Amino acid sequence: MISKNEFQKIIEEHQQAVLRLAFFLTKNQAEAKDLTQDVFIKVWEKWDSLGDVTRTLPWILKICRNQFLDNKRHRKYEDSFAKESLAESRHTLPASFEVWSCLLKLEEEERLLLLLVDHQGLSYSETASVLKISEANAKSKIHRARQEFVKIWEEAATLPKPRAS
Amino acid sequence: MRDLKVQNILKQLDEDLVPDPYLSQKVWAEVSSKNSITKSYRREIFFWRGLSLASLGFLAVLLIRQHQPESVTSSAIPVHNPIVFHLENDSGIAYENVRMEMELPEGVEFHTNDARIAKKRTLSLSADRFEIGKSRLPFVVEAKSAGLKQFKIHVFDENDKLIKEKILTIQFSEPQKAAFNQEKII
Repeated sequence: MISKNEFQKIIEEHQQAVLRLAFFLTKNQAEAKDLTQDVFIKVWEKWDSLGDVTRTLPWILKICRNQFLDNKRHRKYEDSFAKESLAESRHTLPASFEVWSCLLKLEEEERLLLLLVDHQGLSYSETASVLKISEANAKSKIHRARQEFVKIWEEAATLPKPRAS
Repeated sequence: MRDLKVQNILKQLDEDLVPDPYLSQKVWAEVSSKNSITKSYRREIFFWRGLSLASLGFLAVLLIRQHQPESVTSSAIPVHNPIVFHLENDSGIAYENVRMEMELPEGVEFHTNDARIAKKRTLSLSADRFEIGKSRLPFVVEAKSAGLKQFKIHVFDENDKLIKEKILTIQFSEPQKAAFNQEKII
């Protein structure tokens, strides 16, 4: 059993990574924070089943994804960050709004691959375990996701920016 | 090169994502509750799930509770134990930009590692969304002394108009006198 101090260190160390993934999944800051809390409660409950402590982060992120899917089955998440409400999200995501606009044009799995590999720094094998796909599949899909994302990003950069109201 | 470019772009995502400063306290309080709360005590805690922002939901709760002393817990809760207050919006109406405020009685503190917050008598927490059927754990408190304590909860809408006021009285006891013991642990 993990001690309270060790557990608090785990939370401090990984909460940002979990919050990022939770936000990628729920697309809503309040939902993401709730999900992050649910995840760490689960981490506490399942701690003894963690085999390799060097793979703590992928293990926690896997719990995060499973918890999200579980919550989704039991209660409907409101997709408040859906494409049609993007304009309203500009004020809550001032720094990353443009990035989000481009990411949302990708498939969910492509977004998650970019987050886990290029943002969280997970290896292909760790990413594959979180997403429950093969390592080879992860490698080929991330390549395609990067190409697609850069293309969308560059296209967006050439468009005129909306005037601030 | 392409992955470096993607990495640099994605760095911007972190600027808008700020973790909950009380996450550690809330999670710890929740897991402590799960480990040590008796079934009857849990029922009392879940009374708070009935605290609703709209009158219909709120009236329903009051009707249920009319058979017991109004808003008083039936079993004592031990001091020095973190308590999580669940608030659930079961009103059928979703709210945005609400503010929930808890006023503590004497001998009770907010459960946190931050000494400044622990010494506060009133704490306000904002939620950008409060959806139907969603429960939140906005307040974690800990009694430092035994006795009957009254908690005041206020909920305000986005115009800072008071939507609801609720007072709950909880009996706290020294651990050995409390209504539950280690044998009752779930």
